[in-house]
Amino acid sequence: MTLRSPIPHPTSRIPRRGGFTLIETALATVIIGVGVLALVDSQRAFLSSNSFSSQTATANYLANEIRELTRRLPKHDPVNGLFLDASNTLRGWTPRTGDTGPQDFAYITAFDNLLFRSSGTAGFADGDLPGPIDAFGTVIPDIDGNGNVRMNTATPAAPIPLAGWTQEVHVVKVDPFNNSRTYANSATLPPDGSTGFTGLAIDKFPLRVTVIVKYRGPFDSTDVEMGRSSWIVP
Amino acid sequence: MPGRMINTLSVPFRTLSRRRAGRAELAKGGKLSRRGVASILAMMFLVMFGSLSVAMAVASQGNLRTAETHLHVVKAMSAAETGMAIAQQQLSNAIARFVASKGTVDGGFGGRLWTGTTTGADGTVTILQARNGRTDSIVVRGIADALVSAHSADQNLVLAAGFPTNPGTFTPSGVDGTVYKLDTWVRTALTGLESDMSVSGAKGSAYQITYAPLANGTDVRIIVTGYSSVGTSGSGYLYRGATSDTSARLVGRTIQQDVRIAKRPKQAMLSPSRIMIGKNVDVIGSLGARYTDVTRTNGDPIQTKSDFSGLNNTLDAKLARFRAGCRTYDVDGDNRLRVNHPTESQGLPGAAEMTANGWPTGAFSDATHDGYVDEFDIFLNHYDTNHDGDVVLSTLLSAGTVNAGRTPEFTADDDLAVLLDGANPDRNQNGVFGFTNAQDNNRIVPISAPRDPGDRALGWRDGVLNYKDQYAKVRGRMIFQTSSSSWAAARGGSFGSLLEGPYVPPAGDTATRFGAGTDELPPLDQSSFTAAGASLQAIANGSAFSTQVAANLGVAVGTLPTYTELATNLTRPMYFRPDLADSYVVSKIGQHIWERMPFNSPSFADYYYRPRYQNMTFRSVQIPMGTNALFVNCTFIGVTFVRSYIDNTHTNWSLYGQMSIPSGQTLPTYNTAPLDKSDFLRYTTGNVTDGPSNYTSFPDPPIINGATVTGSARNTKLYSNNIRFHDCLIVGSIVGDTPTAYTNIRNKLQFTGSTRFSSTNPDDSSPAANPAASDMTEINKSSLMMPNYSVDVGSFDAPTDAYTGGGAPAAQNVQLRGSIVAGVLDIRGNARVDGALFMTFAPVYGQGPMLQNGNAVGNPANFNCTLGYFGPNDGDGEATDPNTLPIVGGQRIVGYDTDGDGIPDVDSTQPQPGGSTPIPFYGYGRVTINYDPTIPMPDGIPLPLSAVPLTLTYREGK
Repeated sequence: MTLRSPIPHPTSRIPRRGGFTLIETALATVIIGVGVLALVDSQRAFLSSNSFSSQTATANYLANEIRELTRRLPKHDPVNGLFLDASNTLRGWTPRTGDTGPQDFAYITAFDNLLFRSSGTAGFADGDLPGPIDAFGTVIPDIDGNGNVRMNTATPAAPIPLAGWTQEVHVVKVDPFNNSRTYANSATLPPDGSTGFTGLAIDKFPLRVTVIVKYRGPFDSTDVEMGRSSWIVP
Repeated sequence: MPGRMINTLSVPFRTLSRRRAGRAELAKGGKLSRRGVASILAMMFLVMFGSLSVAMAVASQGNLRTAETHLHVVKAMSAAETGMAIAQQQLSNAIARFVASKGTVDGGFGGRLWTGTTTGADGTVTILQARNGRTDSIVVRGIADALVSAHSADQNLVLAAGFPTNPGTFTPSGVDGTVYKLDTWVRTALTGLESDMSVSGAKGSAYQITYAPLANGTDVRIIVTGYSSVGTSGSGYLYRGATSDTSARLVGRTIQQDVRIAKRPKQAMLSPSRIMIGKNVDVIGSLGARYTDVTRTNGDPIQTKSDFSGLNNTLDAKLARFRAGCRTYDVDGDNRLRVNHPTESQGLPGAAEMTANGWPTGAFSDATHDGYVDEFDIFLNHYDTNHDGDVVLSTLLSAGTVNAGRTPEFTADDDLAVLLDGANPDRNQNGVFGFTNAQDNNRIVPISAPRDPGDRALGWRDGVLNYKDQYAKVRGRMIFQTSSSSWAAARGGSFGSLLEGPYVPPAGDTATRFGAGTDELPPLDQSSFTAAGASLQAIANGSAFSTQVAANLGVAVGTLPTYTELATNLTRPMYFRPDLADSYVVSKIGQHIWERMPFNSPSFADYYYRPRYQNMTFRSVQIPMGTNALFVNCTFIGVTFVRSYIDNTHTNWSLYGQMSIPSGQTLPTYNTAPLDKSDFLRYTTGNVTDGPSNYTSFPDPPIINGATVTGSARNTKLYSNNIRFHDCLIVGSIVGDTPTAYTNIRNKLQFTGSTRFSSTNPDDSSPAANPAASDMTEINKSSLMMPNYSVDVGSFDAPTDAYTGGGAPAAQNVQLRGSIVAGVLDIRGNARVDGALFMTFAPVYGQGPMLQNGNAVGNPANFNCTLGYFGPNDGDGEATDPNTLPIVGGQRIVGYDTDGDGIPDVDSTQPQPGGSTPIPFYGYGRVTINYDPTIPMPDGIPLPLSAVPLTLTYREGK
């Protein structure tokens, strides 16, 4: 009722007073609404893509930190080498006894199959360690908008690691002449008379290091790969 | 209210409509018309919003594209860096295939090495097998060929348009000839990084390498371009929204770095015999230990002793506790415990243990603030009695510094103090360091001023020890040929107790490396140095030895065989013939004409009657074979060439001419025990009955100069040189022939007393007192080139600066430079070596000196390279361990001097003879080995060439 009264009836004697204004308004509302919705959706897409590109940049940064960290390390245990012991167990690939984290690692293969993430815990048994880490092997803290390191509520307070990020490291042996061909960690190459190749000992293979950086947002249920980087250590 | 609201809301529309309608009325004669202007406006808004949406969509797409581009750039950069790492390794391997006798690589030689056009003037150049384990695909003449051959084995190639499909040399166009060589560049094919590029449509990251020889001849520029995505059909990077490969473009990144072709040693010391680093000895550089016979008694490839033991009992207790902690908790084997490390920090004593032992708080704190606790920290904490962070040195050492006048806190060993305070002299790394007078660099009390006060401001020789003094027992790596497990097994499970003192390896390296191959520890022996001394020998071109002796004496050469020294003036040149009556010589100078060998050793092996040359000056002299002299207070200028017969491989070479003092006699005489078949009549008669039953087990007599020699002619002292330099000044170099076999007795040099060894005369800068300027290039390459000689620098009681008791001789001051070569080398006293040490003798049980009369004798571990003081318990059988010396009159003594010459004649373990004087132990002195790979090597040492990355030349391109 309240809506009808101002709208002149076609048969009414009341002078016409813009009776289609409501239609126009409704139509305009619809049109403008569509536009606004499109704008909002664009904004959402914009934010999403902006966030993606930002996260991609972060992923590249985190991958490069691992690269820098491993840059000066030898491939295998430089003290005892890489070898199969009497029980045919591979030695010198995983972290040494006494190593507690990346700051202790003395060779590249110690990083193989490890995750460095904010939810990581000390110890190698569960395959993850606190992270993400920087080129010095230290955990990268989260920083608020004002540039302050966010601290937890423990006593004494400790920096909160960069949330949501995971650095996943894989190290694999590759063929010395073909970067795309990979081998088991304990592999050796036999001599090849056709090329004069004298064979390759267990510790002489080039290594390919791959860092996969993943991100899990606050409302995500799974990690999403944001970037990866691979390089060969000849 | 709602109605009012609607009305209210409708008013503007209506009003607006009226205004526009009014205009319509005028146009249409008063008939009211409505045109849906609101819709028009709405659609305008729609257009605006739509435009904004499109703009934002475009912007967000741009963001995505930027992110994608960034990913590709990073991927390309990663490929380029991988290519650079591979290129550096390939170039390093290619260069290391070339073993050159020439000592330095200059522009001309480097250029010829690259192209494979070396000539005879370049010395020998041997090309080794390819290091990738494959047969060369082409004939390798130079480094460029070696690179092409190595890259020919590359697989996973990308056959993309515009890239070479095979490695090869080429001639570039449009390059700057002042920067680059204009031909014989090497480029490789485009090589896939990870994807299998043989799969159809594969577009993975890849790299392409170019090796560009530079115009200077010694450097090679590696230029690597990495691509993010490239395949036979193009790139996977779609530019500007393109949807097909046709509009794709490559994203690449180019980086470059220069590498220098050089010849340089890899370690401060490389030895096939044991390396023993004693107290007050520091090494700046790595040690290479090729000794592997670890099962022998004392068969430890490397043994190091703490610099801080024996100073104070309480400090010793703290150090013992620290070492125990290291043995259990030192994860990385550097004898340092990281204070914040969860495992290593457990090796430090807790508060309760500290209290129980009476150790003050902070006794094991990190005094140097480097994150580690090591022996130096414990030492600083112990002596810093006022806890101000500084350990003030003695008044003598702090004089002339900003710390003069402060109360001394450490005065127990000034030699050690100087060793620590003077370590790493170039503190600000500007290349200017030391004292104005180079002789002061090795002295406790300098006379001249520092060359760079900035170094002193950073703690160098500033009279205090503190965190600025970057101490390490070994600042480098210890590289072993043997395995860790075999050494540990031979020592009951652990060898940790044999390695004392903190080791500070280069960043990213471990302190120890076991199982090293020949690429890391080149198997050098005496044959490697046969030609190395040739350049030095050539400039030992002064007058004949006898001529120079006669000139010093002022007599004719012909009178020397009968010259009798009257010794009327002990400061003038004197010459005592070895065949003079010992009693006569004693009557003149109070000393015998003979002496034990090694001199002053409690465990000697022979006696020598020595001609004695005293107060003489020699210049560029050759000392003839068989001289076996004692030079006292002599000066040698230029290159001194010690001659010897080189074919000395007879099993009993060291025994021919051996002497002993028969019971009841006072003079040494030749031993008469049979040494070969010629000592039996059967050798000449052929009758079996004229020889013993084991006659055939005796060797044949030696062949010397092509003839079999028997009887007294076999005296090998005449075919070798065993020389002692006492209180001598050597200005220049000493070089010798290269005996085929190491005979520790027959070919030996000993520098005793106040030996001074330098490349410039510390007393006289005149040309007459210094080597010729034209000789300095070779002299600077090596102060000592004595392959297969046993060399003792400093005696078993070398005089030091630090000894303050009365009657002490002037201090020893030895400064060696360049490639120092010996069969086995011992250095004691006050010495510094800038360069690298090469030992040639590899002791093997049953070979060389460990084979006598066909029987294996001795222990390979007893042949060792000893820096500093060790004793028989450590395997240094000739020496005495200062810790075991008896204390007489409150100080340790090394023996008793019966003839007043200041040299002990009776061992300290014997009762003191009447009228004799106890000779004190003058202290540990100090020895610094400073690895300097930039010192040019002498020609003739066949070492593989090295590729030295020039880090400052790294550039990133597009």
